[in-house]
Amino acid sequence: MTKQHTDGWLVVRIRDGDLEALSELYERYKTQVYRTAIAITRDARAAEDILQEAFLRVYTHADRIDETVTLGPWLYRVTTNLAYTWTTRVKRWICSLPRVVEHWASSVQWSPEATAEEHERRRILQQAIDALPPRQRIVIILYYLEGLSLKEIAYVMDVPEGTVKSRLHYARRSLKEAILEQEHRLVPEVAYDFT
Amino acid sequence: MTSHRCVLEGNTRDELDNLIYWALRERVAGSSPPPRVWGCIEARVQRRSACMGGRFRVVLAQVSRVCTFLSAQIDSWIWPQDAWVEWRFDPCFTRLLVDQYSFLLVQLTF
Repeated sequence: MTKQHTDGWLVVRIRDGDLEALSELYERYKTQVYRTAIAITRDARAAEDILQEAFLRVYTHADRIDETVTLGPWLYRVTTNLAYTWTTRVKRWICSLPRVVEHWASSVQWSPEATAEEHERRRILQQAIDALPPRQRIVIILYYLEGLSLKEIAYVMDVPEGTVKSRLHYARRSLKEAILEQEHRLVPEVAYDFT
Repeated sequence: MTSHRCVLEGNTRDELDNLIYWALRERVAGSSPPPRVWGCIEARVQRRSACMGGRFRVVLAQVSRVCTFLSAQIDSWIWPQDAWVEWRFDPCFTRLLVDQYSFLLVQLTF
């Protein structure tokens, strides 16, 4: 059985230029970083670039990393910063939204029992997540997908916890409105009941 | 058929949370980085190390050149045993030395 080194030990080794240590950290965190990057950017190439850049930063900034804590939060911070920069700079998610949504909707393996309505609802939700402002989208992804607490997200995004809470609130509200709007279109009589 | 609107109005938090969670799960389902990514990172790290190593060697060579230059300067100076060194106050000579040192230091830095 191979010995599992701590993140801190590996970071110290990286400071001495140990590429093996970087490789071990990469194996440990690659999926997490890539998944977060792809969830934010929805672009596989961008996610690969972000993954590369994040681990290059681990190597070049190893002396600035606190070796007494796990690397996860620091990596999340780098990843979300890089992904945020990408989304705000490229804005590809806005101009090619219909194409992206179509691609994702077609690539998802729906379960046989999923109804057309369910399919439509999920599609609308994906679209609504994409339409969120990048900062809200990042909060939603870190909170729901990565399961981080509000405190951890506050560290990752370098904002007060209250700000995270408020972004989460507005993001949820937008997503809820998107689903309700879709409901209006699908079942007008239900909408009538509530007006 | 259960209306989503009703579900959302009745038990908003759980239902909406589940929807968002599953939507995000679907978004990243089966995604994992291709193996070539590590190769790229490795290559970039090695290139960077080689570059830094190369730059370090250049700096070392320049330091050694500066040392040689300074040694030659010191050797060439004739220190009078019992007289005041008048030429130290020669502004032309001083300026020449300052120029030479500055040039070498600039070279060393960049």
